[in-house]
Amino acid sequence: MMVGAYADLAGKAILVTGASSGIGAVIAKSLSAQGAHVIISGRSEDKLALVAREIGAVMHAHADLRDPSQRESLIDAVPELDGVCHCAGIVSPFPVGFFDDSRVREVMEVNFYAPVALTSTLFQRKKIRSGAALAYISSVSSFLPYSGGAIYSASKVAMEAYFRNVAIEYGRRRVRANFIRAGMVKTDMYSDAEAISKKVVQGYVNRYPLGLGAAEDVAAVALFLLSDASRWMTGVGVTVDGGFSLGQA
Amino acid sequence: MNVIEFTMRIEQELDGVTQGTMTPETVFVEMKEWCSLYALILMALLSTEFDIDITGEEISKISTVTDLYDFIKIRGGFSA
Repeated sequence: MMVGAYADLAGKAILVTGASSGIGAVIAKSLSAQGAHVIISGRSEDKLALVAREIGAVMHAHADLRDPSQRESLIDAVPELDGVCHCAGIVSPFPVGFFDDSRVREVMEVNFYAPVALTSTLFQRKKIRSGAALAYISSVSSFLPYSGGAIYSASKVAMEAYFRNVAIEYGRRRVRANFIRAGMVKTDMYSDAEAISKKVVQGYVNRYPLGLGAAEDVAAVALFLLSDASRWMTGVGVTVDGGFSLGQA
Repeated sequence: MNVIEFTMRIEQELDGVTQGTMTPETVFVEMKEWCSLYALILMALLSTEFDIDITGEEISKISTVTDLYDFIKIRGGFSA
């Protein structure tokens, strides 16, 4: 399914990371339907190729953005951009009382370090046009903690802070940087969580007044933030969570 | 490590469990203190102490402390 209706997106060059599945794939498809020139990247080569074929992406790059050489290749290959949507992310539940160096590094590298390195280098190489819009898929867990989510939440908070600084530094060039604090939607990540405990996940689902969301619900807001319709918004997070953060349903 | 020592080890990790109340026959989900965090702690313990990655689906099929002990044994976690 695709979402949105923003005429100004037509012809814009927009990079979507994490586009091989889930929210990223839906955003890429929806942007393409608006006539945007979509460049997609992702770690799963086969899935990415499928999405690329479906939407007729201008370019697709199988890239693990944690790897500096793969990141550099992507940056070299992309044209000047009118938008970037960072959707690549991982969830790796782990309790506070255990420290696992490799897990902490993996979550921080995917959810924070890679999008920071990508964004900063794109600016450095003059690949972000004046007036561009940047969007980052954050999470309600950046302000609503949950058991096992310490590092994931920390990675999202860190990226939100970075994006606010991008908004400050590039506001004069009319570049905007906003993020979406998404609640739980039905994607592969949801299935992973459900595998750990269906009962626990159902407990969370019961706390959503509007029920569980779909990737399209987040994509709709991403398109708004990438379009000129949000031209006077920068450095802010939009919570899209079916009312979850209101409290107990 | 035998199953009794393993039970004591598990008990140490699960904050809130009264020491000496767990046995090899204890069914995890029937413990009055059982919560989702305990499942995460068991997964983390297997990963950090026994170098075994267990999926959520696998752990949901483990019923007792002995089941978990046997799972680790089969995966070679006690061989080091």
